Amino acid sequence: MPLIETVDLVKEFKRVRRKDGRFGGVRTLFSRDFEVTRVDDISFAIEPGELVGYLGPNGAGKSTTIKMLTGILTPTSGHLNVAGVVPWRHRERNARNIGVVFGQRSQLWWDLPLMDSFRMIGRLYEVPKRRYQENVDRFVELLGMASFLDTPVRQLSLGQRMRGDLAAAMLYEPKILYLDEPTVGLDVIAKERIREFVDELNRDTGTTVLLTTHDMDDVERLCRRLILIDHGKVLYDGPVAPLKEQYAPHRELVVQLASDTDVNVDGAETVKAESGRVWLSFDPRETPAAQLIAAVSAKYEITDLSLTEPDLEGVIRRMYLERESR
Amino acid sequence: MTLTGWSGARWAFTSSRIRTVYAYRTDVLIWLVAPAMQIVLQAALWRAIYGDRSIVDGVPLAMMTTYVSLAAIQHLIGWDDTTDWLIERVRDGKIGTDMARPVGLLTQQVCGQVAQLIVKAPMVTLLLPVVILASGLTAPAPGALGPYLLSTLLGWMVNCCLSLLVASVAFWTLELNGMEFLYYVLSGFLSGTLVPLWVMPDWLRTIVEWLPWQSVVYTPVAIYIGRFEGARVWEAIGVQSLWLVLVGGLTWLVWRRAVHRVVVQGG
Amino acid sequence: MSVRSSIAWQVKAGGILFGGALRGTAQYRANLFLTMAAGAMFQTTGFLALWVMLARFGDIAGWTISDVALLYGIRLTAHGLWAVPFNQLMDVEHFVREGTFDRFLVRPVNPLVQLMTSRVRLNTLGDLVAGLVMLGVAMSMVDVDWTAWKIAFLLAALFGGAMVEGGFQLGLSAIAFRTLGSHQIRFTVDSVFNLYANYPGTVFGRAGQWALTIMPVAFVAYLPASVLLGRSGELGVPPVLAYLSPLIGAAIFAGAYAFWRRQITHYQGAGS
Repeated sequence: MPLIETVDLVKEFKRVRRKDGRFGGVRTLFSRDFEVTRVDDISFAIEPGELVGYLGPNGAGKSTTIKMLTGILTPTSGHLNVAGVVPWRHRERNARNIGVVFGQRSQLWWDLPLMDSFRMIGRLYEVPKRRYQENVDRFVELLGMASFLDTPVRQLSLGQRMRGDLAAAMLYEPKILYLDEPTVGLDVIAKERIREFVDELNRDTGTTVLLTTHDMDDVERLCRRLILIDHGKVLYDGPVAPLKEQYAPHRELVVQLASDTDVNVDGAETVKAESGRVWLSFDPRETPAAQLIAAVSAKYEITDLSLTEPDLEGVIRRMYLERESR
Repeated sequence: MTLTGWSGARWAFTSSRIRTVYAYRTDVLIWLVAPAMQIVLQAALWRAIYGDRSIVDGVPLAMMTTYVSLAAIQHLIGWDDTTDWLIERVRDGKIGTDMARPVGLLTQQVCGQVAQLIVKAPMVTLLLPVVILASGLTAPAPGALGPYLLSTLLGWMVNCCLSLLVASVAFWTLELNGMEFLYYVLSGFLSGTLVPLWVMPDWLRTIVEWLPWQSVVYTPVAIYIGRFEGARVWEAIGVQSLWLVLVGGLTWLVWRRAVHRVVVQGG
Repeated sequence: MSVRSSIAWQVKAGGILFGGALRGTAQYRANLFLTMAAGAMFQTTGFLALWVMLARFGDIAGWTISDVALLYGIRLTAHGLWAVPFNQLMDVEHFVREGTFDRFLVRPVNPLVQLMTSRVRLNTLGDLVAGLVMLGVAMSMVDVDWTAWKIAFLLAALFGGAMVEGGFQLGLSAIAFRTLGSHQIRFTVDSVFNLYANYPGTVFGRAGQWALTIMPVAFVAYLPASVLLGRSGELGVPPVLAYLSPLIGAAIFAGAYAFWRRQITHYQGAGS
């Protein structure tokens, strides 16, 4: 029984392009300048415990879908069910099953100390005192927040605030966690911390996670399944590996040779050669990596080698480009 | 600096402020709706009060309704957002940039007020149809039009000084948001906009006569409807001028201290 | 419908949120007294003017100063009763634009409750206090026998009047979900109530009275006051309407709330 299920989900609305300036309100009111947003027959099902990446270019309909899943928007048509609840119909009940972290906007109370926000969440979601304390302690330790628990949220750095938001979203142990660009604007260490936390969460507690992001490292690190959408439609829904195989079957073997020579090996093509370093491109389906390495080392003296993975970003880009040209 | 240079700088500043106010002109138009409704209301109230009588205290109904409508329009022209704007600038620290300009801070404010007048006055005349419909507008008393216009100008200038005085409070405390609104309401009452002075009980009238606000609205409008006659017209204008000198001088002094304070404190 | 949506829960949650807002505003001690005074001054200046006028003229359309004080007091109190809890309605566009409203929809509390408790702004309290004072004084001065029924009707009329004005503002706020820029309309509506709800309708002539009843500004204070003062005979509209004032207020508010809920389904989100 899928935890999240959408069938033929459609959302269509004309949004007037907002005018700026103080009386922009009235001018917007009379404007005929529209932009149409559509989500066009999107269907997918997510089982409990999955960690799914939801990707697409801006305007593809990503955030519209997420907003329907979280109950913010009402679909134009289609069937939508999250943990047995229709989100837009029973918003408050849906709210108890989900945690949402918006990368750009915090859910914490701006003027209050972080701890106060946690306490308010605990009371609003009616978390039993002992559970609440356990969760708070666990998250404070896991995310290293002890030093700024008493700082007002508006004084926190982006990384600190993000951790706070994550903890707040999980305090009441929701079945589903929606993450909308959770690592945007963070430094490398902070990003890794967040990813580790989400990964652990998903593994230990079985929380289902739906992640939208533009950061491919997030996806590589966390997602086992990807749903790619564009122009309001689902392009791809499945594990990451087949996607790579389909669109970027080639891998690269980079060898450092003892002397500067040309490399000629069956099943591989030299893409680049530079002062003893040679990049060999090969199709792992035809020539397994191990076989190629053996073949090269048999013929040449190698001092160092490395194997590169096709990068997901390139894969996706190629996929979208292919779509455009069709 | 040559004369043209001096006025050139001020005009440049004024015209930029004009553009700002003009950009928000839809704001201003909507803002006219409430006063229009106020005029209709006042006219109705006075009509009801007069009841069957057509003249009270030597003032015919038509003259009374003319008074309240004209007074409302005059009061409206004098309203601007100097105080709140100033508080914001001081709070944001942008006042420093303002002070660094070639035109003095006080002069900037005055230019701002002139700009407001230039944009708003024509718009306020849009209210005239409402006025005529709702309350009728009697012609000015014979020979009163000239003095009326002069008196209006003087009154407007007194009002500018008064609001600058109020605005200067921003230099001492930031706690006075909404002050300007309170000021608008109070000055409305004290200037005779809602109730003409001759209707007030003696004790109240005496107090009001000794305050500067009645020279902003009451004096000019009273001249218009002929409440003052002959020599008394010029007496009234003389009093206005006196107030202008007093309040103007006070404003200049206060602003000097305020600016000095900002410079000393670093804003 | 789960038990959690019950009124009791909303009240409890509202209390939690309000506490948070209260603790938050402790940071910004704007001059509360001044803003309250400014608001109260704005509302009462019309009455002061009328007081001066009636001191000189005696009465207006047969209403004495104490009669008018009663009317004014009823209106101002009714205004305070909706303005104090609902003053945050004025900021709904700000919340939509900042994305805060999205957040409201994702929490297990009624979004209206969250909106109301998002900030503590007590400047409208001045209106309520002024209204109560005026009402109290007027009640003692006016020539009315305050029976239990009359007191009950007065209370009902106060809440009914609050619901008329409040209902309009709630309905207008709901427009913000579809398109921004409704605050000018709200300001105008606010002005209409501030100006015309305070006076006996007879001042405006027969056509005016009908207009005010349909608007329905007259239900806020004029019609109930007429009933209490025994003046329902001179009404330009059927007296039975005056007796129904509280119910009409409730109906308006209920309609506005339904409209509000409906508009949320048309909510377009904060925009990326």
